[in-house]
Amino acid sequence: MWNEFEYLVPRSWTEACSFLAANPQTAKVLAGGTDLLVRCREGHIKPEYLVDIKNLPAAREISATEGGGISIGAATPLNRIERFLQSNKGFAALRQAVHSVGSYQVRNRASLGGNICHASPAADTAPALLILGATLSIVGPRGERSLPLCDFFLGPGKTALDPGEIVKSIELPFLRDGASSVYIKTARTKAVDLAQVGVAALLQPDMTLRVALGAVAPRPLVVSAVERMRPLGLWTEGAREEAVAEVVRAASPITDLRATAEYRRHLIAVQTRRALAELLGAVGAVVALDQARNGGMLSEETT
Amino acid sequence: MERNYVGKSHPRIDGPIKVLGAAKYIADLKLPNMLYVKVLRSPHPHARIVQIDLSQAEKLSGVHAVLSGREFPQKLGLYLVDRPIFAVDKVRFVGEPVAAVAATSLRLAEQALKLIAVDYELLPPVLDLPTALADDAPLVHENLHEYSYIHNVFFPVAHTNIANHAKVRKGSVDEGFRVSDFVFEHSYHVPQMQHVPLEPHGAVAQMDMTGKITVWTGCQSPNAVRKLAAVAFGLPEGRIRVITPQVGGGFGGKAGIGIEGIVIALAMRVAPYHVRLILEREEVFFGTAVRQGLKARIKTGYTKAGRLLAQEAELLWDGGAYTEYGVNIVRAAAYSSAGPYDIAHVKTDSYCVYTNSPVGGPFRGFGMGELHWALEQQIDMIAAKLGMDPVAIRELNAARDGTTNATGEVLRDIGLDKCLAETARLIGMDTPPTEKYRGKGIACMVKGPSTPGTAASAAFLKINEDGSVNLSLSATEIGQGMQTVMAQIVAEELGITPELVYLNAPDTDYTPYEWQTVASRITYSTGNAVRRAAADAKNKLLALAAEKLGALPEELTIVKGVIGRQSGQGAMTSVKELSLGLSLPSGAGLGGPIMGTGYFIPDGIHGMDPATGQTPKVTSHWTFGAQAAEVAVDVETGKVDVLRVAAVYDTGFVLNPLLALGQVEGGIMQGLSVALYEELRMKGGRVENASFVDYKIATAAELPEMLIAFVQTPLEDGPYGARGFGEHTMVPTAPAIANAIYAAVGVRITDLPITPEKVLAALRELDKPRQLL
Amino acid sequence: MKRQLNFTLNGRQIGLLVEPFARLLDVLRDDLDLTGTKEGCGGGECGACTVLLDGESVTSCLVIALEVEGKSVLTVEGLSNHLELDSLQQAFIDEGAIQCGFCTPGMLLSAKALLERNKAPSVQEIREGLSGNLCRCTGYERIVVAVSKACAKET
Repeated sequence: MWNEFEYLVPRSWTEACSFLAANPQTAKVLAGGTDLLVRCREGHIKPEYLVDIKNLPAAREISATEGGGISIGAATPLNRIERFLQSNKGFAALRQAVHSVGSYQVRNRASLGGNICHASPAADTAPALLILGATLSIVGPRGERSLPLCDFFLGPGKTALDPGEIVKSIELPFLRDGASSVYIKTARTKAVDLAQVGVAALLQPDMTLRVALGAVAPRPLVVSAVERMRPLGLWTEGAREEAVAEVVRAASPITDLRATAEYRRHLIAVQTRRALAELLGAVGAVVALDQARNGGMLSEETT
Repeated sequence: MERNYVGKSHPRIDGPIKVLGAAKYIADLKLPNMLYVKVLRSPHPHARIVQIDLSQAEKLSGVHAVLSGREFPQKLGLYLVDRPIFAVDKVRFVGEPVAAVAATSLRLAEQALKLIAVDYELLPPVLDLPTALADDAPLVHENLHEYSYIHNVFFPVAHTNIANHAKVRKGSVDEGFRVSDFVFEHSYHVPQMQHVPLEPHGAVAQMDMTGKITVWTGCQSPNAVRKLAAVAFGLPEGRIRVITPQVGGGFGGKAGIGIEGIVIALAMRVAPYHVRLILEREEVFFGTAVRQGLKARIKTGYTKAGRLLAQEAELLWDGGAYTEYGVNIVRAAAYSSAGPYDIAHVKTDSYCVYTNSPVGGPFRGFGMGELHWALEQQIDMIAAKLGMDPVAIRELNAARDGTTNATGEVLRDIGLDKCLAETARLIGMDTPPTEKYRGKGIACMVKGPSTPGTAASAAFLKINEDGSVNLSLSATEIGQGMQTVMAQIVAEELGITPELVYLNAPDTDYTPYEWQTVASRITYSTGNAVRRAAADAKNKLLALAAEKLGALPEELTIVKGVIGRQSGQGAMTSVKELSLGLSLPSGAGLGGPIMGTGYFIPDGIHGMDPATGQTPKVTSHWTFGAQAAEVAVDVETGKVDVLRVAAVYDTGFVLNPLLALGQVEGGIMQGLSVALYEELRMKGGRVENASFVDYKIATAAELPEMLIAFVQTPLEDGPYGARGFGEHTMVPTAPAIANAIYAAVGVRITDLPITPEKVLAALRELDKPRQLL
Repeated sequence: MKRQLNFTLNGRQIGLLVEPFARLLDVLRDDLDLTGTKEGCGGGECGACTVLLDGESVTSCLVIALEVEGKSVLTVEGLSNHLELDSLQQAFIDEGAIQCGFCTPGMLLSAKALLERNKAPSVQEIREGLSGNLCRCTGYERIVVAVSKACAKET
């Protein structure tokens, strides 16, 4: 059972930040609680205060921004995000990643803020957010600041938040028309499982590719080498294999309870290849898309 | 013969209470003056307890009792008394109870646990079978030779880690191999697994001021709890009362005696407080019975026509730290070791081996799942070697009427060939899939209940003034639907409707004896007892009715509670009217309140010869079945998708088709889950994946299409011909899937679970996957 | 120190004192004697503790009781109207979707939430929609059939 704690409901972001800054060792931010409370129950953490941010202004709102991007309140339940993203092809990776987290019940509570602040190397939403160029709007005792997500993860369980700072929202920039993305998760079971390997890929209309990985390095990471590849607008089989090789090179998977490093390395290649096939169209006799879905997670969408 | 109620899909009588959320399980019971228990568990797989200091814990305000093996050194055991309630002198597995606290709140109990100081002296752990069986192996139980056990049934080997060595010697395998055209040998492995009932284990105990002990427990066997506690604590059985509320799944994991010893010990200290222990899910994974692991080596001699002539099997069972129940699994595997086949020469050595791992105990199938994982792949591999169809080789060797099994028993009333043929037809074994990397596989199975020859069932019923019946049984409803089936049987025999039959909760003070709710034996054994009890009551009713109607009892019939002549003519009376006896016109009364009793012990069970295992009848009856699976293999990821499963069982008589269907579906899913996902991951004796985060079981997302049918070859002494049925449905699923994978991509996985890593590694070995022609 | 919690439970307004660290699951089961909601794992993995919070299915073992202040909670006890069963409950009985019954309350609430957001789910959608509720007895098939039949009845 978890330790005895106080449950606080601040009325403003400022109040929340001040309290956290004043109690850096003993206070924790509570959004959906589906990670935090599990860790409390297991005794990994023993906070004395839980600061509930769910009712703070815009904490659970998701909306289109004027610039054509999306602003997502840090405590927005994942199901709400999934519904908002509907059948938008550009943001598909985020919708698929969000859909793959835990169970439906968990997704009614779990949030992007929680997922990224927990900073598990295997966080499903992180690779998708990274390829979509997410920036975080962070509020703290010294005011607000903006931070690109790619600078946020410092290591397993470690983020760039200073004491007293809270992620307020996740900002996704405008995506050009014709952009498409995909998130392919490898897990043991067909539903309700952590990622053994997560591959997110975004194809821009100018044919540049952005790939990010989860669960295969100390932090979720963007494979910058792939982004630098501009194969004259054409992704031949050779170019794709080069991209796959870069992706595998960028990863440093470990062997743990969920998978061996070898299996992860192999699946990174397989899933990257499949992600590219989905975005670029199949080249040669690659396995059919439904088999890719078999190897990945069940998804509501049909492409 | 026309049946009114049995054979029909009567809705579950415990359905409404469960959908209303009103069914009370052990954790739902609120009793006065309750104390809450937390258990201190060993962090080491093998260590001597040098010192335990309970004093600081005892001082904590709100703590009523702290106990360890020093205060309660009693041992428990169903077949072999080897398991202490609390570790005494040494600990033998990570998770073994070392001490327990009863306090006014769970939080306080947890705090108190932290104040218990234990000094351990580490001992070399026995973490795998080779270590356990080495000549210089550290002994898990040095005093095995002093333990009491059932002699001539179990054979512990003193001064070793072998808790039981069961032998079968039928014919001569040397001769069999000599005359065989080919001999093939292969090994198989099943790791330890957990049953994962949705409801964690729990028990409450109280000793009242007269010294009588009451135990409420979500168990499968109230009488076993009572008996084993009585033996352990040196109390008469009649001074221990065991009550079973609703049970949220058992699968064998709640059989025998489990955590009850802990609460009883504490209750004895804090009389008259109620002492409550509900396990956390993590504790269920390593602190309750787990499935024994198996390392099997099977050597088969066969002809070029595919006829199996001889089989030599070495079965090494990882029994864990205590094998008081597990020794019987090892024995059951020995006597079932020919599987569902007719093999003339059989030599089996089945060993129950101690290791410093969680306690192996009964797990759905009682060794049959593990055994058939080996046997059904063995025969499939032989078929492949001969270029023979997997269905044809099974047809050739299938047990039939007149076959002798591994113990020399002559089998009768066997419907295996029908199960096999229908399963093959349902899945379309003769039309291999056209898509690449898809395949179909088939597996047969057999199981008989593994009980002592004296295992008894008893039933008692009384009729109420409204014509309803209270039926008292100590058989437990663990989800299998036994209450509904028993109500149908009473209704059928007595001539009333099933809605009028009420099942009383098992309570050893009130409900008559039931050996255990295990072994898929309740329909068969308790069903017979209930049938007899109903017949007993009916006879009494008809005797009074005959008096009242001026007829002979043989002329009368009871239909929907109305008693009259079979011809339909003449006056009528009713069950209601006669429930308290017959009122005579004179004003006097005749007879009395109508009650019925019945009991059943299977006939003619005979022990196994210690040297050869031979016996004319080792178990009351056998139930056969077959399953087939169609899978699609993703050769890039190694993932196996189970698309369809066909299953056909010969249950003798299907008492309730809807319930029987549910048993098959549930078994298939558990079998699929076990095949693909389940194992206890051990490191240094500790279970690393003791939670649903990393011990994965199948969700609804994994459902294949299921095609299910039943064969009914009546069992002569089964109620309405019914055979025991329940465990059987998860036994052949894993080998059927493995065989299907072989058909799909030509690789064979003989080590459970079938993970994508293993499939990929096997494919790499093969270089290129191919379709089997 | 305990604090006042006011919320709507199965359609009725209630108020009681709870510890700030109390789980919604414990308040329902221990303080309010509504033991229909079960604890199967305590970690949000098995779904046995599923209740509806403002119409959304959540695992109550990971909800702090004070979080439901001013909100509405529906448990299995609130599905039926006195002795009149909800169509889902009746379908579960009719289709043989119950065995040990321990997962049943959670399954019913998850199914109810599914049918509220999707009036005519496909078999695949039902399977996925219930994948957050573990069952070891039934193999899920009867449950999926029951949910199909229940929504067919509604429409």
